[in-house]
Amino acid sequence: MFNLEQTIAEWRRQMRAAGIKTPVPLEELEIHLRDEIDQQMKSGLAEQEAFNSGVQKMGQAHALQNEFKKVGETKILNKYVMKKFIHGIILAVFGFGCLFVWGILSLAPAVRRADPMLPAFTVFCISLRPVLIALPALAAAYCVWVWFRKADRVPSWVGFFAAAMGVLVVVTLPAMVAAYLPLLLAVNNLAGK
Amino acid sequence: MITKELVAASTEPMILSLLSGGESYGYALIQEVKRLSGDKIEWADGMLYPVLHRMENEGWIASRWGEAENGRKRKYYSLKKDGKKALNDQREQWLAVSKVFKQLWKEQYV
Repeated sequence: MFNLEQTIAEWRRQMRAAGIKTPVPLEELEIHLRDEIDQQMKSGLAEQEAFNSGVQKMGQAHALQNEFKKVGETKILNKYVMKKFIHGIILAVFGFGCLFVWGILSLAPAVRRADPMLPAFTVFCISLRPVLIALPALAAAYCVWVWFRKADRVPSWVGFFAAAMGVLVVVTLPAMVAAYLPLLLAVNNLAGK
Repeated sequence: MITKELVAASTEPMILSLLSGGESYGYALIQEVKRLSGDKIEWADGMLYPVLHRMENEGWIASRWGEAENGRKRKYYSLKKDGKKALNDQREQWLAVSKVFKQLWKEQYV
């Protein structure tokens, strides 16, 4: 006596043996098979014939597995993962940029030995150095948020790149001026002596 | 019957076009293509799902589990913004090919 549920369970075992192990595709295929069986039975086929016809139309288990495998491989390199990595690269560049600016601002006090009076603008910029820690920390927090987003909701890296580079320019220019001013004063003092 | 190669090439734009009319599920998509083509296009049933999953990974379509009227679980697919763009691109390409054929065969047979 033909038992549809047992036969479908056996078909599932065959699919799993062929390598379709993840529950989502297998469940989806089974629902499709059941829809097809229903349809064939409405057309007048007996349960067993409807099952055989449905399985035949579904295709060979190994051929199906090969197709699903291709999807899995492309998934690893899909553009969403790439977007996340690009966010990481931008963060690294931004972090090094901020470190560089910190270095520039550290040069200014070194010149103090030659002239203890630093220009007010330089002193102001040095007092703002903690911002150079806060900005990369903020960018890193954003990247962590991006990393844990659902694959299809990862935002474009272009906006992050533009913002990071814009901020880097905004902090680098005053830092360079702040470092240049005491150097200029020190050179003038030496020339005066 | 239409060749396997042509069926494979046209699967994605067909799915995108079908989903542009609203969300649907695998079995219904196959039946709809069969009906519209007058039984000339018949997708291998199981092969549709890897294509749907790939398109979902591409960010063209989204899926959600729902319940059919018979109480059976069902996975519904719908078109996303990137899918609409992909559909426009692919439609332009297919229309360009179709235009060439129309002109060629008009010249030859009229």
